[in-house]
Amino acid sequence: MDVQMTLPDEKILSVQNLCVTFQQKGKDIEAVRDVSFDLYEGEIFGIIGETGSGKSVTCKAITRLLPDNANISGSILYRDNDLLKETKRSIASYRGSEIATISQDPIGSLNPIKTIFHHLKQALLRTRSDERDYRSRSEHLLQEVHIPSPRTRMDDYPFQFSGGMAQRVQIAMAMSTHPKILIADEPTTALDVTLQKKILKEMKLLCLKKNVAMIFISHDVSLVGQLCERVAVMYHSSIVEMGNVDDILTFPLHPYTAALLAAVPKIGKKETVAAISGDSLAGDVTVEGCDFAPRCPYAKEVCHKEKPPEISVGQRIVRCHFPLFDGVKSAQPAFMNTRAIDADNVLMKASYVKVDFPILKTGGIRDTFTAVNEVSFALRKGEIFGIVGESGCGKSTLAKALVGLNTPSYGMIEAFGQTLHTSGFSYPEYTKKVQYVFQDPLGALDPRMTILDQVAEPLVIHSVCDAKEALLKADQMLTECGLQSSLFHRKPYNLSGGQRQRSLVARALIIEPEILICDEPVSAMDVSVQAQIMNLIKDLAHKRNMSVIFISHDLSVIFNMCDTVAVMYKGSFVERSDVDTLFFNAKHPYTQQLIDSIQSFSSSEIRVKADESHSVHACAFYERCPKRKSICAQKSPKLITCGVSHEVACFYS
Amino acid sequence: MKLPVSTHDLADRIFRSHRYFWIKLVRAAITSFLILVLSFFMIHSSGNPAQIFLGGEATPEMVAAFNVRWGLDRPLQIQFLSYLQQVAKGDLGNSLLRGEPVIDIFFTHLPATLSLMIPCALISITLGIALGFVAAMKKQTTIDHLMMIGSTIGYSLPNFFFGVLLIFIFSIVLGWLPSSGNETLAHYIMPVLTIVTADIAIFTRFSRSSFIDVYEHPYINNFKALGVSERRILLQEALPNASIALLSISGFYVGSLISGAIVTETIFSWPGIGSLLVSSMKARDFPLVQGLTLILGFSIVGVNLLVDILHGIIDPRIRKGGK
Repeated sequence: MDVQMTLPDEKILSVQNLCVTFQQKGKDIEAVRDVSFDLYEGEIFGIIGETGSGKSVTCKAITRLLPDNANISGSILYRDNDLLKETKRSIASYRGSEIATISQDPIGSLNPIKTIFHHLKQALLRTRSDERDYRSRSEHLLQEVHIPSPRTRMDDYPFQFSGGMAQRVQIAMAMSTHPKILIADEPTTALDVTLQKKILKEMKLLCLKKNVAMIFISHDVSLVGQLCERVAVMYHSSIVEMGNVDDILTFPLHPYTAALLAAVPKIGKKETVAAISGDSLAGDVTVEGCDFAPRCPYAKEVCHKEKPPEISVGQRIVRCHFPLFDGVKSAQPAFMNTRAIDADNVLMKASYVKVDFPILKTGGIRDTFTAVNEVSFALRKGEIFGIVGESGCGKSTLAKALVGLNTPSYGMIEAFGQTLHTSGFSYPEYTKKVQYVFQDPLGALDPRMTILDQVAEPLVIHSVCDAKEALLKADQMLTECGLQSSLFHRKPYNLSGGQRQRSLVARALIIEPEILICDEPVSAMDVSVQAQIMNLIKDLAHKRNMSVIFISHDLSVIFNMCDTVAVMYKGSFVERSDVDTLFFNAKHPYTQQLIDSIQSFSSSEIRVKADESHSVHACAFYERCPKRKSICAQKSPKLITCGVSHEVACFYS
Repeated sequence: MKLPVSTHDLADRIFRSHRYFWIKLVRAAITSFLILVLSFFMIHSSGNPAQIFLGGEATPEMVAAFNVRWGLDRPLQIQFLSYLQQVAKGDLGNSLLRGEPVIDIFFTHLPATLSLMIPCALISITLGIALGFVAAMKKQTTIDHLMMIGSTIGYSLPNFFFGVLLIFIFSIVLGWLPSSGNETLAHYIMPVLTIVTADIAIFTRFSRSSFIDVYEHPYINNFKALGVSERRILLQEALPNASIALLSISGFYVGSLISGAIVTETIFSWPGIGSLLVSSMKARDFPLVQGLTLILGFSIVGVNLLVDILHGIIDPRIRKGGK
């Protein structure tokens, strides 16, 4: 459903020459530099940028929610009142009633020890009414954001809500005071993809219905493209490009925008994603010329010396010495190398692996939660095998079981002639061949050791060589992983996220394992760095003819990386095939929903019907399935072959 | 409302709906029992009472007669059972020296201790939390640094030194304040000051870090963004959350109050439980020491139970078994 929009001329907010500087221990950090934009009544304005680009700080400056050490200059006109000139007391009267905010972390944004009603009441309090009225209005607000049985649910606590529901509560709180502007700071980043689109659609409709203008902050280019009318692209504290969203996404004028778009993995294209070389500048670094010049493929001498001018082209603004009027210089199409998978050489075989966790239900009943339910697969030499699924589906639990960090309650994992968790199993022998890359590189690295020492350590542990030789090899490995030798003697805290993840990959690969298990290695990273790490793992796997198990919640990353894919839902594989088959011919309704949700904004509709009675043996996807029939409520389908190397667990595919 | 069908059903319901509280209660009961067992056997393993009481020259006949007289000839488990029976009746035996019941001696000394410790606790907790809040709000500023330096000094200043210093200045040199006893209000000034100096420091440091922690949570900013006033955010959002952590330390603190500030009471000759404990140990008055140990142990268990229950009331995640 698309609602036609006409852009009213009424300017509701005008940010002019906004600068924000944080004073920290004698050092000034420029977080926002000379940012200007207008917001019109009822429109959705997007701000795209990577971590630390200043997009959140810009928005916090509007309602002055920045810490005391922030120095704000410029002007922020809301209906001709300069918000920066308001007193501390009077600015509070704008918050909520005129300008509301929705933040990223849905559960963390609610007070854990207070009921949902308490939250809504705090928002409604300024209308000065009685308890009964607050309750009935809260009920209405929760109804508007589609929370089932709001009357009883509002007496529940945040921890009794799922992430999606908690985010709906936040939206209800923000909408409760009829604001004119809604600032949404990455409102759906913490949610699963299928849920993301649904919540954003609801938000969009609610804004249209109530004529609320929205500033939508995101790092996700495709979301911004689908949701917003106009967009600003931020890089290193300033806006580099601004204009109509379709224009910018199809004909980027700033090299950074172009590079950002190219770095996003695209489904169906088996090209290597084009990473932006290097890292974003740190917040306290100031560059003489254009901020993007050090990473820009188009940079000329003047770019390194002078700040770029602001060029207006019709409705568009771009800050660049040499905007890309002639289109993007086509980078050499780096198609993914077709890799040789040795079909007969199975390195690792998992059969009916089941992992249970004990849980304590309310009322003190001990129970088990099955995180992984009878999963089987075979990993062949040279294969990159992807496992995709939403958070909590059991993909990480499975990965940990594969390296022996979890003990399966049933089933068998065999690799290199050994069976895990049996007597005679040699763990050191096994870890020499199977290595693991964790999601959070900072947590996985020793904070007190230099990365060179850490990368050398596995060689010493496995007594492959002596310490001196190990350091030499570590040096080579880090270089191979694309790190500058000047960084080798740093500790993890002094490295960027991308550099840390590179070190982690180097540490895993130094003992030349045959299988690398990567557990969401890029999910905490910005698009440009994500592309670098993806390319690195892919290249190294190819060079060494290594097998990889690659876990991600992001289907586009999986499509770009892997040869074969398994889709996991509530502990089971629901579909498994090679990448192309899965993309063009997905059989399982869940896979179809996942693919739909990344492709388009409005096509997929997730059905969450009110509780219909179905047995505990029902298909796990029953509640959300648009194709369900009566048999689905009674038994759970098994994975069956439905084509050449294509298996699906659904009765109706 | 539907009435429960059977008593079993009722019990089941009560248990389920208050599961958390029941578990805490059962644990407290087990701990109390262990205190009983330990105090009994430890005293019994500390030597033969007949030998200690009658001295080295007692004949075997005298010892035997002594044992029969006090029931010490019976098997240990029988002795333990009769001890339990006594304790259940509230009888903790008689003091060897004074001959009075231990429980009576305890209660005659209790008011002095409470009249000193209750004001100390109120001052330390309220002032400590308030100062901690100020320090948290002004964190990493000069005010905060000065407050932290001050609290470090206050905390590390030993009671026996600070108390004596006060006596020296205000009683001996200036002659303004009495140095011992608890008859008038003036008697309270120096002991309270001695205790409070150290305790405020503890609460200031602890509440500072709790408040900093709570104020870093996104929900605080979320309420600010809704236009909720700073005062309301402090009272209705931050304080209840910070109090979860503060409650734990207050529990330890209040639990130790009843034993009094042993050092402070001794310095100022305060006729409270602290001095009583010290003097009974000096005099090897075993029944008194054992009885006091028991009472103090029980009171700490009781306060901890109270803290657990309050935790459950403040924090729904504990009560309802959330994460």
